[in-house]
Amino acid sequence: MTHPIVLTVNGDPTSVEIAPDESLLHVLRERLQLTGTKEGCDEGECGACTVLVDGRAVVSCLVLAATVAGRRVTTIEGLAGPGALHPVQEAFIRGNGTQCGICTPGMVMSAVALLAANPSPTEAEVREAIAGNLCRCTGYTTIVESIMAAAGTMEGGTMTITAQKRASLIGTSVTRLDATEKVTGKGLYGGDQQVQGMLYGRVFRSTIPHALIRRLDVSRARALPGVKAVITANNVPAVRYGGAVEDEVVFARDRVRYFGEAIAAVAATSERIAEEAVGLIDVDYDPLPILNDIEEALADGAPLVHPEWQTYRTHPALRRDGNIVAHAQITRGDVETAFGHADRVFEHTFDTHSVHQGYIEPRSGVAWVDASGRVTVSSSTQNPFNLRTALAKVLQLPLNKVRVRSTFVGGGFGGKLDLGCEHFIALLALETGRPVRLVWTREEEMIAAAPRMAARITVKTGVMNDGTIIARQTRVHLNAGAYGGDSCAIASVAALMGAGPYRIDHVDLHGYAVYTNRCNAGAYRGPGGPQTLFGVESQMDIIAAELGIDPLDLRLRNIVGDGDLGPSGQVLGHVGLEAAIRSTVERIGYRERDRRPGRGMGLACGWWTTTTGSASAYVKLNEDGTIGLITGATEIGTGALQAGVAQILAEEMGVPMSDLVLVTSDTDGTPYDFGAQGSRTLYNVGSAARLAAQDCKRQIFDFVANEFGCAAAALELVDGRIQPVGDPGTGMTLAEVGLATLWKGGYITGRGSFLATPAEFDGSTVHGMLYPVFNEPTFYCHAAEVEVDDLTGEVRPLRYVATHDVGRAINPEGVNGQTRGGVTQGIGYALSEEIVYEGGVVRNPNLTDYKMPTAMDVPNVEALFVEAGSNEGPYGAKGVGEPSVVPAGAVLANAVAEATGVRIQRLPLTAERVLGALGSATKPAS
Amino acid sequence: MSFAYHAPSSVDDALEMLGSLGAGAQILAGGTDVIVQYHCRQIAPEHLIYLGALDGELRGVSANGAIRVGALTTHRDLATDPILRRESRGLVEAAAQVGGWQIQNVGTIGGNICNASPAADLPPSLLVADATLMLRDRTGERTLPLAEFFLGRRATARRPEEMLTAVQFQRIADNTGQVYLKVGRRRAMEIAIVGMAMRLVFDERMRTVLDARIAVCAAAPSPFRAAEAERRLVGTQLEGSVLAEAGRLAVAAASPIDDIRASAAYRRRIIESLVARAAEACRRRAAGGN
Repeated sequence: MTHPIVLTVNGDPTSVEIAPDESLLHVLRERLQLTGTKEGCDEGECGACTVLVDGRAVVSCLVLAATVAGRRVTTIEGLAGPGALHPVQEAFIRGNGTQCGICTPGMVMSAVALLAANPSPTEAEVREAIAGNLCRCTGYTTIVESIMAAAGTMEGGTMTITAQKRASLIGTSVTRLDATEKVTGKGLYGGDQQVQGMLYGRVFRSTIPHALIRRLDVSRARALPGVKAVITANNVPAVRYGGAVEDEVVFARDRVRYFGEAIAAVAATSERIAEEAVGLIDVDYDPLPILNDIEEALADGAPLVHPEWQTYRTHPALRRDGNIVAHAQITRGDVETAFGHADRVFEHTFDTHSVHQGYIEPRSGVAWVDASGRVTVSSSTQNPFNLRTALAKVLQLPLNKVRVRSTFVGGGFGGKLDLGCEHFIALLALETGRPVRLVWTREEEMIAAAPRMAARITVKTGVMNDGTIIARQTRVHLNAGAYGGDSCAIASVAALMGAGPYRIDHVDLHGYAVYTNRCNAGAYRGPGGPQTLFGVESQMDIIAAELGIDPLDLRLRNIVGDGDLGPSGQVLGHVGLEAAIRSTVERIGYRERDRRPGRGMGLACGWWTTTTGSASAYVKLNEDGTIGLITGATEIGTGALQAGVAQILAEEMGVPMSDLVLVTSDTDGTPYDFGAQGSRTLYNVGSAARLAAQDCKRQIFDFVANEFGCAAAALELVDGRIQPVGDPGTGMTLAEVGLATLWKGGYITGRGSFLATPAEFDGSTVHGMLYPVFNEPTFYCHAAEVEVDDLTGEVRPLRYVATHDVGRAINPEGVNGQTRGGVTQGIGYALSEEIVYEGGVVRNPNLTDYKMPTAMDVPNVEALFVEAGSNEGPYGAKGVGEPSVVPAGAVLANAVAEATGVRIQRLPLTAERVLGALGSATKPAS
Repeated sequence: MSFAYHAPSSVDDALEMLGSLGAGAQILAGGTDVIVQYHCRQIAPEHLIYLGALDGELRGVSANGAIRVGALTTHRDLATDPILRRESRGLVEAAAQVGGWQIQNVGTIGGNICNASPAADLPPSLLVADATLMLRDRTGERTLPLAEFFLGRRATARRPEEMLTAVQFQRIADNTGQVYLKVGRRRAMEIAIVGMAMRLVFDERMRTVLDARIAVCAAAPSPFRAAEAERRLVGTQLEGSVLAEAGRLAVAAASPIDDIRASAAYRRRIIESLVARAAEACRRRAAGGN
């Protein structure tokens, strides 16, 4: 039952029919189509839905629409007139205050409310005012700076514009091309889409972790008026799918293997009916024993999570055994003998926990089927081409019958690489013949998405008394959950990370992915890295203390440099590690650090990869000289595409970035890309775009050469004009060429396809490795200073400095933004975030008790970079996206150890855990 | 699944509705607890009575003799109120630590009290102020000490037909120091693992404690006063041994549980430690420090 209310929305008196229990957020988004107000959690915890009611910031998900009758509501759409921007929006654009953009409208609204009440806030006041707005990309620094800058301009000052004309765009900080879409809320994310005739999907999930399904009855749900389809394993093709091992199913048929596993899905005419229908599905279970963690899964006589595991199709390199779904190994030299020769041998075990990527936009999308049976999925995926392959398998359709395109992606961090909502909506659309939209609830995100897996890391290291490491053996057991998923490849990464960034002649490095009754883990930024490095770099500090060597000196003695070998025998080049270490320790003042009790400094260093995979691009010359880029790559907020690749293209074509248009991430409309994963976009897509631009330019030059009867080599492209070298003002402009070719020679399109030269490694060293070598390795060193409260155990990071060797920084502020955001996620991982499992059940499936850092919890991360060049990255660039999240666990554990004298070998370093360790240890003499 | 929505335009209308609808009615003030509970299906009211139109009567802080805080005064109002900054510093600090600003802008003191969450931030500071509640129904008004209001987790002495209209407490004496300390995993958007309010009154030489009040939340089904610990502090000069003993007495008054946020053992341990930290803050503030 609905009733009308009248309210003022963005200055306009608005009459709208509402249900009594409908939220203001729902009214704005679904009834008034004001989707600039974003939805992140629907529980008042993320702030994405912040709007102003009578000038005050509120979370519109917790405001009943009925209560705003007669009031003034201002949304992001109402801040400025058409085509205009509010000073806060302008400041966010100029100040790099937006990355993925999902938090941006809410953040802007909080800022507008703050500045109305307090026109010149301090930094602390800004942080307090936006503490209710979670951001997962930026680390908050640029947001705070943008708000402070806006305060300056709104008080009558002027903003400094730093984008002065430079000789080259490469190495210049630029404004990303999609910034305006994001600060205005106009960018459409998965759940913002509304399609005519659309139904609403909802998934029915298991409520116990491991059981046989004795009876499943969906008849009451099907009978509910408004329900258009209820599908189960009986209604979908009986296929198993997956990456390295095809062990997964869309719906559990006779057995559920984790709490939250999908059993059925509903499509209905409203979200409310879909939710009600799910509540009418009846299922009876015969519970089975629960394997909650690695130890239980590996115990003698443990039941098998997949009794039929031997029947599954797998990647040929995969080594499996029962509950071990992947065993990756690198062996070089002879560790056992070397341990015998070592002066000291250390062995320690570390434990880490499961965490969520924490993207603010839940997995979401719309699917529809055209009259010929072709399925289109439009979702916030990071990886449309991979998704198309998976969907084709699930739907049993050829690739030309499946189209996937990405919407704006409200944070992914690896959590939106694989099938999320897409298989459900595609199947429901096929079943009903109508478009179907599905937005995961926050609870589903926490129980059934693709979290970073918990792990147990054992590190055994043989060293000489002078600190030289001669042997290293690691065993990293990853809690993969109920299906292999990405864990099979991540086991390889865990092996590759085992040696740390050190020169070690004898290594025996193992990564295991282990089936348990948890939801299958996935690829969260730097997958396998944070777990392994927590063990490896914590142990470095333990060894340093035992040998009486400063942790920094121990590292400097052992780090790799140019010409050294990586663990699987690759010869390393362009190694910027020592430079990164020196940059970090100098900035933080490591040698002169404050040694008072309760204060401590810790550091860690490591390496990472720049993933390869095919990238491709077309570049077209428009008739007015503007340039179009068409690529299957996906922008997920990093700016790799909307800033970095665009810069490379603009540089190659000699045009300003404002002359570009980018068409991206559509499996039918754009050429292939391996997806926004593995820190690969700038490197690979940048290379493809560069090749396409060069191809386009070659055709342009040939055309002009032909027109002027000269050699193409005698021409140059300067400021949009192709002219004989040294003869400015002659020749033809890009616009003239673009127009002329329509009727002479034909329209010009450049084509670029890039696949990096495979990194060489010693094949005899690797066993069961799906990912045997790090392509174009990157290096980094982080350090932090912390204060530990000896009464509560609370750890407060006071400073955090991170230096990355990025090869070449194409967009320096973009690089720094990646670093700050990754570090902030790392701080959350190290100190506060944890998906808590008890008996296979998630105890905190919400953002109230899953604690992501707010603006008040993190310091201004000091992001630095060094540039050691690369083998074949564009302009010497390497990957940037992932590694900044990797070291924080070790960095902060090392800092806490120095502050307290207590070594904690388990994450997260919660106040309770730290205080417990303090209580059980003898206080160090200070 | 839904409810009938009512938005009375006066306190009297609201009381009439409460009187006639009785236990099937849920009062909605800011909604930051009620709406969450409704979404989670912890409550399923037949009627929702929204009090937003009563702002004029029930919102604001006044000081005619006693301090009176209207039930619809928001957390943000409390956090920025100049009278309260002097008279109940702990209440100001507590309000500033509820959720984020978006929650503080709508959440009310009345809702925070009547929701009776064990972890609610405001009650400890009101308990140390010996606050009383003004509860009204259509037949009249009664006052009830806040300490007698909480009957357990999410249970109060409010009768279904009653509405909380105001909270009252006396002005502070000279040489008083007050504080609210909250321990959580984050510095914002937190539900307290433990919260402690303290109010100490010193002699004019700022040495001896004349009066001591300690209240704790998130460590029992309801917020409580640690009376034994208070008594231990009175007449002392907050010597280390006194504070340690008071800490142990405060722990003895608690009955914390293990939950997702912390263990009972951890809660006990920090209650013990916080007594000394809070006492130091009170002494500093009583002497004019921050």
